[in-house]
Amino acid sequence: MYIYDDFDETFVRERAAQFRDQVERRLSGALTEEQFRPLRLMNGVYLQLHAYMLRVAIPYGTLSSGQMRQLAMIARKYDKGYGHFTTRQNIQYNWPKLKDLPDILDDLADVGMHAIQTSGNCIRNVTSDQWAGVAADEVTDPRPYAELMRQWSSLHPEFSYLPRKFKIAITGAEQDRAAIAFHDIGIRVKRNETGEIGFDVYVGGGLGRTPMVAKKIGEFISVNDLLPYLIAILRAYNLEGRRDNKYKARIKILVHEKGAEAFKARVEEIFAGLDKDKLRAPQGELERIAKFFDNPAYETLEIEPASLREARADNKAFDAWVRRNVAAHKTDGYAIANISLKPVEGIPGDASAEQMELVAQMADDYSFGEIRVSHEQNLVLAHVKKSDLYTIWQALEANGLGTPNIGAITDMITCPGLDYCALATARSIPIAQKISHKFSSSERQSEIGDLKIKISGCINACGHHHAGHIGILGLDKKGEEYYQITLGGSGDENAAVGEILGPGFSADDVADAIDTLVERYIQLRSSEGETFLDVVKRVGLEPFKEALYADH
Amino acid sequence: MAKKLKGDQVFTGQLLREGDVVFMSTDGAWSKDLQSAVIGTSPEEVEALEALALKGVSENIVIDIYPFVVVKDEAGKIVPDHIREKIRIDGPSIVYEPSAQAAE
Amino acid sequence: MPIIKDGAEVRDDPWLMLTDEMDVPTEGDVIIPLALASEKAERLSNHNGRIGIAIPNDVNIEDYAALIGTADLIQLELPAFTDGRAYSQARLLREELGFDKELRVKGDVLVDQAAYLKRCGFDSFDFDGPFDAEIWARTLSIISSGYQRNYRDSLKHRGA
Ligand code: SF4
Repeated sequence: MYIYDDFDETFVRERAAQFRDQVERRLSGALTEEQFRPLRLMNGVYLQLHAYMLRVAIPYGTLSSGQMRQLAMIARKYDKGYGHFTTRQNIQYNWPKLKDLPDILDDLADVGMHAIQTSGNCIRNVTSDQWAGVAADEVTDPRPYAELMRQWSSLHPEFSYLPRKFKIAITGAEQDRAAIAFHDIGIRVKRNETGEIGFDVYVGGGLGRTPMVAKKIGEFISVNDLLPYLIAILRAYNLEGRRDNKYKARIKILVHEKGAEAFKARVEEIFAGLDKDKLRAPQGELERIAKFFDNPAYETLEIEPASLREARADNKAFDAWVRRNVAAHKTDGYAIANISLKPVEGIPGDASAEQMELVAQMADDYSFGEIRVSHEQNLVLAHVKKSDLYTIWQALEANGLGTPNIGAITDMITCPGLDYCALATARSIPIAQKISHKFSSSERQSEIGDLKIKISGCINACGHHHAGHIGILGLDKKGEEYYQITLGGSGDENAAVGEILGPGFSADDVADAIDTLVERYIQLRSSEGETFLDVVKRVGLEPFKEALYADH
Repeated sequence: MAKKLKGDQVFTGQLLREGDVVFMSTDGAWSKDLQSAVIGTSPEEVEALEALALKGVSENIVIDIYPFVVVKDEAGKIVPDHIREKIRIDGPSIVYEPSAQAAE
Repeated sequence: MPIIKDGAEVRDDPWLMLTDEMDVPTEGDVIIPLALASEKAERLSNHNGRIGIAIPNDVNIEDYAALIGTADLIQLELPAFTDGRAYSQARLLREELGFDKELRVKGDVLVDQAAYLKRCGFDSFDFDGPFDAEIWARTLSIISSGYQRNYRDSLKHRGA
């Protein structure tokens, strides 16, 4: 993974010092709250329902064991012993005090971490495929480009006061695990017949009040042109994006109102005028970065070790975990071990300081000291020997981290909702817990197969409900929480926005409603291989509506 | 702010330094205890409370102040009438602290 | 209403901002709003003094390349500190139109933004008080390096 040099380290330390100065000016009254708010937001500090909240950047979801231990230390020292991994591959602390934040940033800087641009109307943390560099279906590793973009976007002088927040995601695989279609800019790395790398660039995707799937405007943009092309998009947006209405300020609205073709023409016009040579990454910089992402020292291993076969045969629980949580690695004898942060009736995405430390230890012992965070709020050990899987599983299992449900119905994306979030209209976590309880049997889960439920506590859609096969949106009706259900959304390479089924449900009835939908799916499917989403696509919403509302 | 809420009201905000949720009691003091809050029972009273609360803002003690509707329960305790404020006062409605989870 | 240049308050700024009702004085340095530029073009042609143009932030800078080429100062607007259009306008002026005279920003400038504004090409800042030279200097120098290299700044860059 990328390791800071002196330049990066000085930069992050100075940024921490700058924030300390800003906090001091705020506490002394030299800055008003109105002036301070955008400054703290640009450093990931929100004011939430009960306390301040700090969001720490985990660039493209990659961190070292040492960084994870520091995150655990911070959770203990300044917070309540836990953290929450987010759909942007970051971590949030729910209880820090403003007066402690400068110290926390110094502690983060000690391990090459920061909270730069994890909030605010600027370019946010660049996200990527959590299996980047190891996935069997990858064209090429997107992380060097992600790191290049991270650096380029950090404290960008021109793009720090955009009309609204701006999110970039990049994937290098066939299967889109980074939900690029729902980002302001989504980038797909491609390789042509001659082996050259280029980027397809999509703009104007997003969820929230007006969900939209991104449109492709750039076709095979060259590596050399990546930064100038991004600058052209951002400049068009910064100059022309709407600033009159917060809900219409994202780039998706500009692209929609202007039309994708016209927007593309504008970007190309700006691009043509740029002095590109001055804007590209400097000579050798990409190569310097790429070196950090060379393969670790893999050993030559048996493709299918007998020990793994035996352990699976002997232990049903382990076997279930391997089937659900372990994915194919590009190297023989290695596997990707996914660690679920969705225990039955737990809080999706939360991890205690002890759990963070355990995962750090597992990474040190078995996965080259590296950990990934997925946008589905789980953790990943990306390079483990198949022969170590059993040992790893035992340790995870003993610490509440062995839930075999990756991609299953209980692996829900859930935003913090009204339990934490000042903007929420309803709670999300208790709904996830009820659903998790209802489907807790792993036999039932494996019978159901792949099914993504995503829950948001308000229209802002941090829980990506529009992109859920089943989406749940919490609303407030005269002081009562109620929940709207959508079907047919998808965040992968066949991105789609879910459609509303009908009238909403009370908090007590949501889990039963989901149960009804699942039962109907089981009846409707033509074979076990036909997933929930396939069935929705084939039969439409009607049969599901009927199941839910017929006898009401 | 002059959103006219129906009912008796209390001013709340969060401490600038700590972020803790607080309520305004007499003389514009801020306390974590809702029971010590001053209740405005008429538009005039609420307006006067707001002026006092804004003093806390300009003195950099509290931020993000706003009023919310409260009622008294049978025991005479002040309680909010909306779930958002209930959760804000009582904390998350779920078991969230790892030590508490382990103890379950 | 201090005007800040090179980290200090400009005591006697020579520039006079023209408004609708004002006649163009025969001499002295004047800033004329873009909307009045063509109307007053004739008066300006034999004006004895420097001419600056104030450009609103919803204007496409490139459409006024010729006019901008004749200006001695360009003033861009920051109606609210959160409205960042002028940052891009400034870069277009500097990098695409090659404007190399004084570039001024007027409006809701926060000291914490000054470093960014400077890096986008602004040299002078016109905003509603208070100005504290010490905070200004500290805030502008607190970050010594930058990842974006092509900007008109004195920051350190990797390898340099
Ligand atoms: S979706 Fe709404 S409730 Fe959930 S985290 Fe986002 S803003 Fe908060």
